[in-house]
Amino acid sequence: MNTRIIMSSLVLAISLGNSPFVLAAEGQNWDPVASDKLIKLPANIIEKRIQQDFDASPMALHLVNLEQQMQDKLSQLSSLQQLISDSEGDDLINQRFELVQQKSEYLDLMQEAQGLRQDALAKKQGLYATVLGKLRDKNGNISQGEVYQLKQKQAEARQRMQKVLTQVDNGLMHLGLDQRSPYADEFALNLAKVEDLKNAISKHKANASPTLGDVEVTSEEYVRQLLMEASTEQSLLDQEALMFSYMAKLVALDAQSLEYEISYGDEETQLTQRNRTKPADVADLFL
Amino acid sequence: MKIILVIATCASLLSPQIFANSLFSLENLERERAALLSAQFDSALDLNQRQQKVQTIYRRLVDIERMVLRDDRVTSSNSSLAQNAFDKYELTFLVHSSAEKKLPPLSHWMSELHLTTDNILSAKAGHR
Repeated sequence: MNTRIIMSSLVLAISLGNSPFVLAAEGQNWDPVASDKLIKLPANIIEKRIQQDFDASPMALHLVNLEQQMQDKLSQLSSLQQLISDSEGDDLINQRFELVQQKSEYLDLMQEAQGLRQDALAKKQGLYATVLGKLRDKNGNISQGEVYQLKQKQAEARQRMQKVLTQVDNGLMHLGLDQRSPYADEFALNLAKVEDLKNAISKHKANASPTLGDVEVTSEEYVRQLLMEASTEQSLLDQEALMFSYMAKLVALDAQSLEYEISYGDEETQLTQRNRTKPADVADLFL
Repeated sequence: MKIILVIATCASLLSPQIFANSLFSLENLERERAALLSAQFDSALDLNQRQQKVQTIYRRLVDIERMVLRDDRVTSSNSSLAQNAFDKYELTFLVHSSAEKKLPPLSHWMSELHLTTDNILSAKAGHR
């Protein structure tokens, strides 16, 4: 009777527990913020910084803990399955009951981990979207700013100057001013060194543009790629949730079948023939 | 802690120009150009004196124009002086823009201001 009550409540618990999302418990949360400091980092470092922040959060620590518990539970399930193959009679029923219960507990853990992962991913997506928005705002402000326009004009003017440099220098020679000025001399000397330094800066790994594959991309493109990867992960998590719901359904069916078996016996028992006294067996008594 | 100090020191080295007058080179250019035009139109100078003076200023202008075009501080200030200077490249960078047109700087300056011989000859002296 006691086993029946436990089995009924187990079936009910598995059916009710099969909801797609579990909220993070108190103190196991992760609350990332897209601060200005974060936006200033190179795009590939933004990703690492977010991951680092998540790894240090109570939510990630709880996930690690859950993963450990799930591994332990899996070992128990394997041992139980081994025991079932060697058991029979009441022992077999008890082991099967234990197996369903352990599976149910494993699914509880899995469900909690799944919920946390969904929650973390949603927050990560929100964070990337905010970063992308801020990057776009920043680029928009720079390209529309008056200083930017002025710098563009200076760059164009510099290009125009570059085209007539030799011509102007030749003009100076025609005027008899063939001795170069100290500024021109020093500038020419420094120019090669400046180019070397600029090359060293552009090749420096701390100044490297983010890359996708081997292709250099802008920060905006990189964050867009991160958002796409988050969507992929979301889609896979949804698929895992579906698998998880099917597993829960199977455990519920196992529990139900075990309950029927305990209540009504083995389904192969021929009810109509059990304990039935056939007239032919007793006919001799009346002779 | 040491790393933070090093970064802070480097950051302060990266932006020394914020303490300097950002329009210094452009103001020098404006002064030299004005001096060139004054020398060209100075009726008190004879031909040799004018040529000598103009050549000295021309030599300085070549350098200063290049300095302004290479000076990022000028454009960081976003001042009306800088805006105006780059809006009117032909007049601001007189030596280099006149070389593009293969004209002497004075002729180039006058043509940019539409001061042709005909215009000057047809002009009448009078009060405004």
